[in-house]
Amino acid sequence: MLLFPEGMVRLQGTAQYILELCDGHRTLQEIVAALSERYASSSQKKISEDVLSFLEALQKKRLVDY
Amino acid sequence: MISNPLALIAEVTHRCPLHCVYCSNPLELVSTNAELSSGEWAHVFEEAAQLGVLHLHLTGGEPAARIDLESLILAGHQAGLYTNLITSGIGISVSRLSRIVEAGLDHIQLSFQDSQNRLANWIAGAKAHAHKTSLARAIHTLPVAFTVNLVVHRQNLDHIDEMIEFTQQLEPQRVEIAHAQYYGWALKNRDALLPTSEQLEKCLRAVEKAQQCLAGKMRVDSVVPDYYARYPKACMGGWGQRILLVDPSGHALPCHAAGVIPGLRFDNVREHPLEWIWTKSDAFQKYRGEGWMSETCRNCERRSVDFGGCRCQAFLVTGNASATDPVCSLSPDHGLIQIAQSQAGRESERLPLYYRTQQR
Repeated sequence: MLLFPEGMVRLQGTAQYILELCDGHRTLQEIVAALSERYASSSQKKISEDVLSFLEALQKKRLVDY
Repeated sequence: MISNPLALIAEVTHRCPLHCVYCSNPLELVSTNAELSSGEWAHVFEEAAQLGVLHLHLTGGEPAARIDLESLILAGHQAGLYTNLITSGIGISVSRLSRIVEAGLDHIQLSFQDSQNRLANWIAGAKAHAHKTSLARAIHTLPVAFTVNLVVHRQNLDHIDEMIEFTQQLEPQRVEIAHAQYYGWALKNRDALLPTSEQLEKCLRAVEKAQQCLAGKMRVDSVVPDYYARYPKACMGGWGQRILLVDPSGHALPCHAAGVIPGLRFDNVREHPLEWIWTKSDAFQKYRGEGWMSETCRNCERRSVDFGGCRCQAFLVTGNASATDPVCSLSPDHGLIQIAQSQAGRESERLPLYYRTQQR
């Protein structure tokens, strides 16, 4: 569950995992590397694109900063 | 089946150094010596968390008027609640701000009355604007989510663009453009505060433009004021469905203004467990479900969307708390709202303003 001012989002699966990786220390590359280990069958490029568009969507709402 | 509440609004005091003419507090304010202690509040926060509450909104009055605000925040945080402080900033110095954030505050919502010093102080009935502005500059350097709350109404909507620009300079993550809602003191001042439809259209355009230009920098949230909406708001997400409010003396209410409805008995957290109050007490049961609804609502397909609107507004405008919220275009009493709309903007500058004051 991601709580923010006046709202909340219930996250599951990969979305939840990505946000758990966003700990304020890991870089984007490190997050992509961690996901690549977990989803070995997907290409690193595809993972990188997906992570970026997910984080961008959250950034637009000011739910993550990077 | 009764759902669990998701948010607790804790009105920790009705004391306030400001006298805002649109204050949502009741006209009869709770006195200081009746306030719950920090220990009592901590117990309420624990009970709320056990009931399933996720968000805690500390509000007032001005919560910083309590010298134990830091321990209230700590108690909310320790109960595992996402803790939000709704404040005017008065009573919070930069050093107290650091202590408040360290106590575990997740989010601070700082209100502004205007972008212009003179107008802001006029609406607040106090010299507050300069302090708010300097506090905002300290907030955005700290690890806490920051929202600026701009309260808008007829007296300031003409320069909404300027107010949004001013807010940008304060660097919050989010701005909430909050139209005054006509309860409590705002209802007393409705003739001076209700915007004209032209102002409202201008505001909608300004908000849309800001949302586009500022995406990723500052989130812009705004809700159409219900007097001008076609259908009523789903007040509190439905009576006794998502939110509960505890007033400074421990009375639990389903809505800020519910105290105006005659014949409702509000049980107190000093005498009953919060869970019993939520699930069983008369006040919370009174407008749950659809049994109480008027013919207009009972036959309307939107009854599960907006729950007939706001019970307090229905009472305040029509005298009947079970009536369809009169802001609804389908309400037989909608003419009462149209009269208020048609009067908006006439002789506004000469109208007297009633400032929020506390009887001692």
